[in-house]
Amino acid sequence: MASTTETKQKKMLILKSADNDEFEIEESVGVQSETIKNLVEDGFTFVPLPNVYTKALIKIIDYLKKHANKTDSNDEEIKTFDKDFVNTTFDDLFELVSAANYLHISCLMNMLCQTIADRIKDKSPEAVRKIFHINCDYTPEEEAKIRKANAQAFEGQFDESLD
Amino acid sequence: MAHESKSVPVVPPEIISEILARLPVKPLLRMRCVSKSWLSLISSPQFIKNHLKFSTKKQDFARDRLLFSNSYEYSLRVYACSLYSIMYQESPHIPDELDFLCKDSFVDYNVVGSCDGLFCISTGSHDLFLWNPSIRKLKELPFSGSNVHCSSYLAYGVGYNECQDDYKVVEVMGCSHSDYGFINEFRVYNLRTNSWEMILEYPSVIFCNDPAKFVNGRLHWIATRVTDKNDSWFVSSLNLMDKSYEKVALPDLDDGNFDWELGTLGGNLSVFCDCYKVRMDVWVMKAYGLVESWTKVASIPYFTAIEHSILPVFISHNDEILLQHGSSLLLYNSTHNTFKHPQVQIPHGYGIQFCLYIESLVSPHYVEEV
Repeated sequence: MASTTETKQKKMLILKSADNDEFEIEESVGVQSETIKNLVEDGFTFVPLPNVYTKALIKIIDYLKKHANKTDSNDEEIKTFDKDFVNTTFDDLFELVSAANYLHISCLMNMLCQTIADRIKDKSPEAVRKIFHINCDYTPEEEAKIRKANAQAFEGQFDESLD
Repeated sequence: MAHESKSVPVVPPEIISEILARLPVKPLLRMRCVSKSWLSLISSPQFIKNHLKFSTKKQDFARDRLLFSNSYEYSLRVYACSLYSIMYQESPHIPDELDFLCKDSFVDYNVVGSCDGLFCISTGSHDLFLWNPSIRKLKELPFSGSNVHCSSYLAYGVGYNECQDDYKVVEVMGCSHSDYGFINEFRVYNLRTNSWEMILEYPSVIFCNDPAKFVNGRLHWIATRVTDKNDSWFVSSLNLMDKSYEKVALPDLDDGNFDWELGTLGGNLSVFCDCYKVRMDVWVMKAYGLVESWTKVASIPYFTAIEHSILPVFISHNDEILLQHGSSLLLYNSTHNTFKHPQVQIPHGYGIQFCLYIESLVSPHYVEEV
């Protein structure tokens, strides 16, 4: 697709993170986020993102830039980029998925949710609690009962690791 | 929203729900033990629906399974195997035996329909069960009220009514009546209310008692008019939304000596036209209700290896067709016109029923007791 606009004339946006860092990006990159797109359509060029911290925002801008230049020929390159993108800790994934959800970037949201699901699939409930920072609110009797009711799902060995 | 500590990210419930909806059934049952809020999330009807939507969308048939059932010495023996392993696994494998929790002696159990992982099982008389093998939940249905006697027959169908967000079991009882001629009585069981209601009569049609095929919100049976001396068969649909009946237009089948059966392939209504010992034509209605969308997707020759009648069970994206062949399976490749035997070791038995289903959390109890 031929672009008629010169580089300097490209419309730019400023995104401001929750820790007050500002990032300038091209509008065409930013509008992959439905949240940003709606603001742009209302005439905004300065977008404060009170729910997105700098660390996550840098990664998400990287993602948006990569995916804005998606063509048939760089399909493999994007796949490799995506694989590296999700190769991080659970806590980072949780930051990213919350940000993707707030920004309404559906393809990123889908990829992150699927990655987290795949990584917890074989884990024990104890490991999942630690990963999600959840306190068990069952009494030992209640937990024994619910385990018994779902006994079929506890056949075999589980992954107790937290990564 | 205040971020209490950046080192411990708290994942909001709506995102937890999105993550868990992408898990298969077995890990989800385990995740019920994580906390009370996860248990109530995973048990909620909204989550169960969302989870089913993701499972249906999966293109790798990881959530699709094939059920093998046979009534062996009056007890129902049931096995299941993932469709993926049937299609692609090159080494021999054994299907899992499932525990059908109801094992009355001297009762002939039969699968009479399934929808979204929920099976309806009949004993041939009044007793009906709803069973979801993925979550191992079984429920006996209340008595339908049909006054079954020796000159009557029963046909069944299971479907889903999107408007009411409810699963339905339809029981058709047809009988000859000395005063009124042939009469059909339709009864519909509603899962939400756990009760039966009687619907309009549909006179003078005999339904084939194969389980109805559920496509596009409608149940489909092969039927013939009682008064039809030519014995010509057609397809009758029952719309679960407004309980209306329609005759479904079929493709222009060639003249000749053949039998035909109704099926579903890839979620579409299908017709299998069987010129026994010559070939089987496989027709699919690609756009529901459009007669011109009937497409012949394959014409399967009867190779010498085919000793029994065949019936398509599943079609893949590259037109590989899984066939029931008597009590075994065959995989036909329509591009190369070749057959092979899937490596799944089917338990011995006669009259094995094969039924494709999707793993789901849909409960026969509607709202799961927690």
